[in-house]
Amino acid sequence: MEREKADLILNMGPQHPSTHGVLRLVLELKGEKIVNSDAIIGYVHRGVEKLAEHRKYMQILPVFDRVDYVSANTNELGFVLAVEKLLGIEDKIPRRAQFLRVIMAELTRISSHLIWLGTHALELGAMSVFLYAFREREMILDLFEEIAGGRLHTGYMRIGGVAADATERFIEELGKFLEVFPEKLNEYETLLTENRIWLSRTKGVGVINKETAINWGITGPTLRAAGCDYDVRKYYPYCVYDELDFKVPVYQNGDVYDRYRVRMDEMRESVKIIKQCLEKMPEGPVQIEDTTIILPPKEEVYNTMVGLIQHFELVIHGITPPKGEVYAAVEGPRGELGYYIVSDGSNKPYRLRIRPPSLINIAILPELLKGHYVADVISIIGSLDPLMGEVDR
Amino acid sequence: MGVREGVFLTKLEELINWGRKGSLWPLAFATACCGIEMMAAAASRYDFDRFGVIFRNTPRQCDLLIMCGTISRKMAPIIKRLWEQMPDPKWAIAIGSCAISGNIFQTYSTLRGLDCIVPVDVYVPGCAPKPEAFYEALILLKKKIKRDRPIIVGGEEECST
Amino acid sequence: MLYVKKELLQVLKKEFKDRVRELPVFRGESTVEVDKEILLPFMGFLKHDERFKMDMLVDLTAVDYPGRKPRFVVVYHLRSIPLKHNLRVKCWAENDEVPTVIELWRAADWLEREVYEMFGVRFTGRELRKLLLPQKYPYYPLRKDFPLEGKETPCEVWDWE
Ligand code: SF4
Repeated sequence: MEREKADLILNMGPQHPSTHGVLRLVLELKGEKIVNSDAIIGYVHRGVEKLAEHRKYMQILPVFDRVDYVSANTNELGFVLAVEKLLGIEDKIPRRAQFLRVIMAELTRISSHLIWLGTHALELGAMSVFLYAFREREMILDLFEEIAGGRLHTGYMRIGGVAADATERFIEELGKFLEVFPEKLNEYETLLTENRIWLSRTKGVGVINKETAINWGITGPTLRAAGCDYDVRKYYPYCVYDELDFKVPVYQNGDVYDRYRVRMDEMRESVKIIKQCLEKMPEGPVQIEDTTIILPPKEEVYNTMVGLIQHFELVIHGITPPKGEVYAAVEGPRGELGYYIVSDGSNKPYRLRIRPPSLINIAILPELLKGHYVADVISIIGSLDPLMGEVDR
Repeated sequence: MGVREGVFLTKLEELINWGRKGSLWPLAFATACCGIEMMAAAASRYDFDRFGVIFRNTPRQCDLLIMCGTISRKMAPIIKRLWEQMPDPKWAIAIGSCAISGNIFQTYSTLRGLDCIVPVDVYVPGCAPKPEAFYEALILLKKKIKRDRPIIVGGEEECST
Repeated sequence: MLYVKKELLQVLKKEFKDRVRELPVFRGESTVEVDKEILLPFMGFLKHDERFKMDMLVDLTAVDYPGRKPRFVVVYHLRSIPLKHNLRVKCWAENDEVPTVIELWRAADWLEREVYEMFGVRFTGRELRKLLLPQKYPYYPLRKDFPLEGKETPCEVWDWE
């Protein structure tokens, strides 16, 4: 293909307020039009996959919080599910823990989408949405803090359950949040959905059709905006998603606006899911009993000899899954988040591969930007919602 | 500083320091997770603006570098360049374990802390530090600025920052 | 996750004879191993055949087995959106080379670049650049003999490109 000649080369990033972190784009321009572009990534490459090979299974967990830092819970969940699959204990996880996992994962989805909404709107010139979105996000972070002790990096999932049971206050506050949040969503929508400026900056921009999206491996809201209903929660249900009643929002145009609509609808669905979880959640333990997999409760460690020994055994030797390889995936806020673990029977993974949805979703960017105006770059990047920590790992 | 009968008496140095500490303009720049907390600190609940902090997008209008997040080796020369582009006087805050020491990411591609490339004034430990910790860093920095000696007499004394 | 059924694997065996080998099923996940020479026709068959319709390349990665010859195995995770089934395909990289599948799935573009920079596996039939690390970086970090802390690299490597 003959390359169109550019008369200006523009470098954008890595320090740019609206590239969602440290993405760098080199745009070749002809007037205002982009004729060619290249994305340069790797500015927060932290060597996570290498790091994981040098750590025991339990020790890896906190690293994954920090890979996709706005959706820590789903990241942990994916890893935990993969290890449980490797160990063959998927069915033994107590039901209460499964529900708590779903609640946390959905709360994370909402908080991640809120960050996306806030920053995306801010970049396109709507400051107030940013302030509103962060107001509600703080409510979710308070919930996280209540149940797990951390705001951003919760560290709540455990191999074989979750770290702690939900407190009464958590349930109460969660109920309040679910009460007010749908109204707030309407509030955001009044600011954006029919806003003329918003429409003209998002409609018909950055169109990806269904075939292209699938061929590029795109998942998550971007794929669903293009008319494909693929969602891991529906296709390959994990935890208790098969018992819950929710819809997967699908739109047909595949442009920036539809991606916005998909995410807004997803937040509503998440609220529905959490409500159902609260209703259906049974009483009971939140961790499996097997002390070769999960640490015994603290009272036992402090007060009994057996507990102490079990604790040290597990901390020193770690979990040793059998030899084999598994792939497990969850639906993260950005798409299918997969973990491929190759185990050689030792207490550290032989190879651990994260399938980062952000990386695969933005691979299309150089192709997609062609023919668009410079101003559209921001709205396209924002709508793909890349998270550079996950892109670079 | 003191006010008497409509007259405002102060030392020039103190006046300068007072002006400087009241309007710190940081660079809106983050590489990783701590940046999300910075956004939260700037947003509705925590509202950083009341400290006179306004985030600017270009280093040429800034006097404070708040380094949030992991610094990879690939990023290091860029941060250095950003720092060099900022006009004097300037200060730097290292937020989070990553910017202090590299945190858990002791790997082939990360830098072991911001102070390898930029002189740091305040360190804020935590992973990620809560927005309240950002305030404290700012207040500490203000204290530090207050002690500054901005006027160089005769060109002999070195700038004290 | 749903994986390709046993009968369908027999179809593959009939089509490609002993150049396709079925690996033992672990936790319900089926894997096949193919020879490098027939990788492209094999993948094309999987993508276009009515019974398979593998229209999505979910992931592409590699695993390093030092001491074995060939040393690297490239792992493809394939999925069919309409039929909902998955298959893992492995291909040993003789001479550290594998043909590219970018013509079939564009998703392979960046993933192959990543495997190239992390393991040094070359994909023939396309241009390869490093993806995450600087172009001048001389090592392949995910190889097993590369230390976690990295090796001494000259400063110019990390310079702004
Ligand atoms: S200190 Fe923790 S929260 Fe901050 S950037 Fe590093 S890993 Fe992320």
